[in-house]
Amino acid sequence: MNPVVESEVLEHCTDSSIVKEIRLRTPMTQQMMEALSDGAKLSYYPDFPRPYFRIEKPRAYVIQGVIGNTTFRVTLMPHARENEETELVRLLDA
Amino acid sequence: MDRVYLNNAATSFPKPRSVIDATSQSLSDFPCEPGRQSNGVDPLIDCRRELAGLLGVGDEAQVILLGSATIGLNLVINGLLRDGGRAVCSTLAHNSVLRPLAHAKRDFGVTTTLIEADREGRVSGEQFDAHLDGSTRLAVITHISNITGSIQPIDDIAAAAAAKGVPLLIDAAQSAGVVPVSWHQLPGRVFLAFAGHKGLMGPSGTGGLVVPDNRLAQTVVGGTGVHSESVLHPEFLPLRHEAGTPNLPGIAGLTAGVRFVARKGVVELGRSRHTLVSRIRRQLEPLVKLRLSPLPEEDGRTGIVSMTVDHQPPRELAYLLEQSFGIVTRAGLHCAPLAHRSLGTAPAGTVRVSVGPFTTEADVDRLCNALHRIVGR
Repeated sequence: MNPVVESEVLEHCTDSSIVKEIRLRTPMTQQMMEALSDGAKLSYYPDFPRPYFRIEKPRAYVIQGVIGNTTFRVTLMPHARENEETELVRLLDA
Repeated sequence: MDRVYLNNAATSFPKPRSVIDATSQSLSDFPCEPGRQSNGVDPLIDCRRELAGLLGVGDEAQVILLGSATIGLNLVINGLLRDGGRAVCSTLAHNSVLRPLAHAKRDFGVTTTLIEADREGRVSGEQFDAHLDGSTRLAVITHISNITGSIQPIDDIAAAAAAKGVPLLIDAAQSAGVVPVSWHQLPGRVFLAFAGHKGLMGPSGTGGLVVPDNRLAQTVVGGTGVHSESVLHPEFLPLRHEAGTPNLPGIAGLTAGVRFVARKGVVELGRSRHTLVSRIRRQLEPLVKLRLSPLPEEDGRTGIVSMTVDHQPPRELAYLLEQSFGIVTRAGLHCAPLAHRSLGTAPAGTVRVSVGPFTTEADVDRLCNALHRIVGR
């Protein structure tokens, strides 16, 4: 089953990046966070009031999220490949 | 997790109990539509009277009740510039001014001269004086920058406009209810647009316009509930610029909001905001990676603090603050794109923190602690 319920564009930025909110079928887990960080740089702050993570894949996207949330945010960079979002869904589904 | 709301410059929250009660009561009562049906109480007159008192307007009929400050700004810009001409405004202007001016350029051939604000987000009466002349149809000034909280010298700017015979439009979206405004003391032909849902503590979807006379062209006409036999819309104030069924629940709430502000005192509320802003700035100044937008000390009473953090886009920081720490701020350009050029914060903008009458020291300490944890790493 597709782990993503819906994807909504929040903002078209002046630098041509696009901010999207991804709504998940189930709350974000540490395992899902690690899956999303495949091939990217993960910064994880478990000691924040709600465990926060940031995943950056240069020239592709920045993901921000919180463990336990049913949404996370993706900023697709101006030169991101068209299938980056599909790739993220695939990582979550793996 | 309980949340802290620090976005009062967008919409004040929470609302006073009296505002919630008045809005709710209006929805619960039989509808009272002024001019159409009367039970002896006219909520519009009530509201106009309270606003006239707070904003220093002698005649309450000069207070036009609208759905927002934006509508008031549009009425003046489109009313005065429909035959073309030149407008003068500053880079501090919100899109609620910039976009109507851009459309006036497209539709009526209007040209606009932009006055550049300094790095503290201020413009002067002298700058306006230097740019106003006989070809100027309208000068527009943002009373308080919605990014930095800097207060513009509207007395000087009104004097400069009056000396050249140029009408002045004050965008008081951020200032009404936040700093003392005495409209009748301003020289010249001055229009003042105000928002109801910010410093005046009313519900969203309220606002209005103070007009100096009944000469502004009518650009929105329709039903008024009076003089229905006439083909044309009434020309007398305030109905001259009001059409359609008014937002009675919103207006009832706005009346209660204005009364709340008047009871607490504009100066006293400003003093409280100033204390909180000083507390924020004092705690954040040691953070070397965090840059606070410069602000004259006395302007802290507007309750706004804008900031940027090295290598951290504002929207990412605001998201982190909200999602992990439960602190609601506002990130980006704040609908004032040109101001960021003046302030040196383009193109990403800032994170803006704005306090209100119900913000506590504990709230701002929570913000500062969060920023120390995030930025101090």
